[in-house]
Amino acid sequence: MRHSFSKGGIHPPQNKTASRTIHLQPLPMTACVPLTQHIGSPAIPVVERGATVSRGMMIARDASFVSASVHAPISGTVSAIDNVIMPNGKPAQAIVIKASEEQHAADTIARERYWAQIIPGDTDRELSEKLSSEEIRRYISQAGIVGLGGATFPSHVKLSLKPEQKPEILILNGCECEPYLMCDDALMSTYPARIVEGVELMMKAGGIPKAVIAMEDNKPEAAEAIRRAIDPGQNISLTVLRTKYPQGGEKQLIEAVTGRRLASGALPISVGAVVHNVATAFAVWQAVATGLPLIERVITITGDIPAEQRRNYMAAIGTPFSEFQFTLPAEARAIVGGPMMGRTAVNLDAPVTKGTSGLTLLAGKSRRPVQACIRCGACVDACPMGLEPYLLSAYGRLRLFDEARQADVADCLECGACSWSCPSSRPLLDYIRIAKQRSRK
Amino acid sequence: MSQTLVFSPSPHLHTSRTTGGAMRHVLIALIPAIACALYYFGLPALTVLLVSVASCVAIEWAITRFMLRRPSTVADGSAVLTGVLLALNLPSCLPLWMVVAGAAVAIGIAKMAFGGLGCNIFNPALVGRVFLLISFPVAMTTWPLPSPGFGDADGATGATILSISKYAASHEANTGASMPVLGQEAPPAPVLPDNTDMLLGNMGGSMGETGAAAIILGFVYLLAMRIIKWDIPVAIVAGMAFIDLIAGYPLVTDLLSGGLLLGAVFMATDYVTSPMTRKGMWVYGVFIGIIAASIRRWGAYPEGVSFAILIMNGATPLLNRYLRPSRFSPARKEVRA
Repeated sequence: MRHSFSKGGIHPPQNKTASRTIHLQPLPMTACVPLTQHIGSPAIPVVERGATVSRGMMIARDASFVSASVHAPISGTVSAIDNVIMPNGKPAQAIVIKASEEQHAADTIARERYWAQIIPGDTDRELSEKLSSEEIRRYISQAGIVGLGGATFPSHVKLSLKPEQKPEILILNGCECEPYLMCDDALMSTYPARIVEGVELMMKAGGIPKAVIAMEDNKPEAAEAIRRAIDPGQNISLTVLRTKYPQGGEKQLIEAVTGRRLASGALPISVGAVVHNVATAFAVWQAVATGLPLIERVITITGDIPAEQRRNYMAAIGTPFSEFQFTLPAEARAIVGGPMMGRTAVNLDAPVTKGTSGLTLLAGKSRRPVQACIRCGACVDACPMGLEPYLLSAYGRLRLFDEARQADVADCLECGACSWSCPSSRPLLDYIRIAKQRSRK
Repeated sequence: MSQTLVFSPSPHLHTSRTTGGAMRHVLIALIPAIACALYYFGLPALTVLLVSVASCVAIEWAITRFMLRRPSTVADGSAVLTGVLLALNLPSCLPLWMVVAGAAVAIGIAKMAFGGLGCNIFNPALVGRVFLLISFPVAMTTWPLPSPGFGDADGATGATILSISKYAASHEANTGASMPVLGQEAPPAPVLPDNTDMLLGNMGGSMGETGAAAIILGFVYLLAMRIIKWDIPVAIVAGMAFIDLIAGYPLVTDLLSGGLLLGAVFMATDYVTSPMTRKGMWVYGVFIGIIAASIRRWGAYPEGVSFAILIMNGATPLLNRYLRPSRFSPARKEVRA
């Protein structure tokens, strides 16, 4: 029997019903490109208001080592460098680019040509041999690549490893354990060979001897495609795991693949592992092989919308969510990301960013009336970190933050497995978040 | 985008399981045991059952309505369940006013006085039963003999296996086996039912505890529906086996007699009053088995399952505190000095 991570976990209904085909979402006429789409210091604009930019040009540079540069997703004129309202309703600094009809048409043709040639494109297995690891890292950094699974940590930082750190294994996260979302599934099914090439480049960049592409057994097409794309001569293997949420959690995935458990607060490299998303590997390949920086990504539009609207799109960063085709359900929760960890949006005119994996539109209210805790222990069984959610939640509610710290609240992933599993519909994670934030020293 | 969007924190999905649903599954799992009770003990059993359920529900409703002035919690099904479990722990010939008194103690004192569902430390149905057992020992240990076929019991009463074996043992110890008792004719030696009768419930006892097969059927249902884990019932049997090994008593008789199975499957596994972690469940279960068997072998009462469960109910908060789940992460490294 296939295995998965050992502790806790839940099996929410998958609802992965979107079409696996990647549709090209038309480029927007106006693109809002936030300066902070990553973890680390905000990028510094290198263009001024009124400047003319072309698609793919760097418009803001990385401010420090842990930062990521930002590129123009469309050609046009910089109309503003100002606060724009993000999906959560909060303002963030962004560069706003407006395209003319001619620029838009030229971009569209160039883009269609680009994607048309990638599908049958020849494999260049020697690419990673021609380049030094430093050169590959420079490509990655210059392309503004960040973790596309949602964490958005600058990728070149994770690959800047010293030999004494003893990197042993590169794990490519293709679990996509969030229900509904299918962007990684679509990408792996469509461009398996490109992902494998990206993996080779990443191995070279980080000096990592072997790699494992890990995914769950709910993606047989993607697994088959990746299996066929891997050359027997490569130190790359495929691991298919038994579907369980949150398998895509970094600690859970490392354990499922290597059997090693990460200590609290420790980095994956402490057990010799480096984890990247499969979409990041694709972006690395794009940057190195085609020179295209990270200005587009796959996002899934899904949820309680008509079946034909549940689709995967190749979308330019900066495309407003409202430009995608969907019928907003009644009393909708528009969730940026998946339904387990994603955040509800209050502004759908906000742009797609590097970390956006999808938009899940759910109808109706999510919460049932809260009932008394019957101490059934479902949350304890569900917690992938071996915590006691009922207790941490009570500590949060009663403001006993020291006690929460002693009960290891800092280990909480905020995966939501506890709240999901509670038969009394208690808002466990809401209070645990409070406890986690307030107990931090 | 003029439409209103709902804002809420994650997760946005929720299991379809509910507290009321769990209670309903337990009630379904009890159907074989109830059927068994009605089959052997007839109409009086039905009366006790209905009176028990009705009084539990009515008392809980009245307390939430008139004393706590809170919305009624009757709909969650826990009061119905307490009523059924209490009834199954009573002899079917118990006077009905005693049933009502037991229900009042179960719901009023053991449950609502502690704050209602989820806040009680002790299993309400068992508190009700033990209250009745201590207050009305004669009525609570007068067992109607089973008269199979849903018919009216003929009024004959008899001893349970446990009291028979206890009586036999003490009789032997007090008098010496072969000595006739002076001045009176020796009572006919009570006959132990064979294992088949015990499995099918064809013996004296509380109305719900006699049909071992029916209870095991319910257990299988609860496991299949993932309502309970197997750990507690198995741990109880393990604890009991340990004592039986020391005392040299046949384990099968111990298992099939008295309230052990009903207690192990339906009472000890009560979410509220049992530990949350597997480790805790095992300690809790093994000790219930040990205490129950010890009372049966060496205590003053012929039966000890109710007491054993209540004692370990009291230890549950302690078990939850000290038998924590093992953390995923190895011990925290003090990175920041």
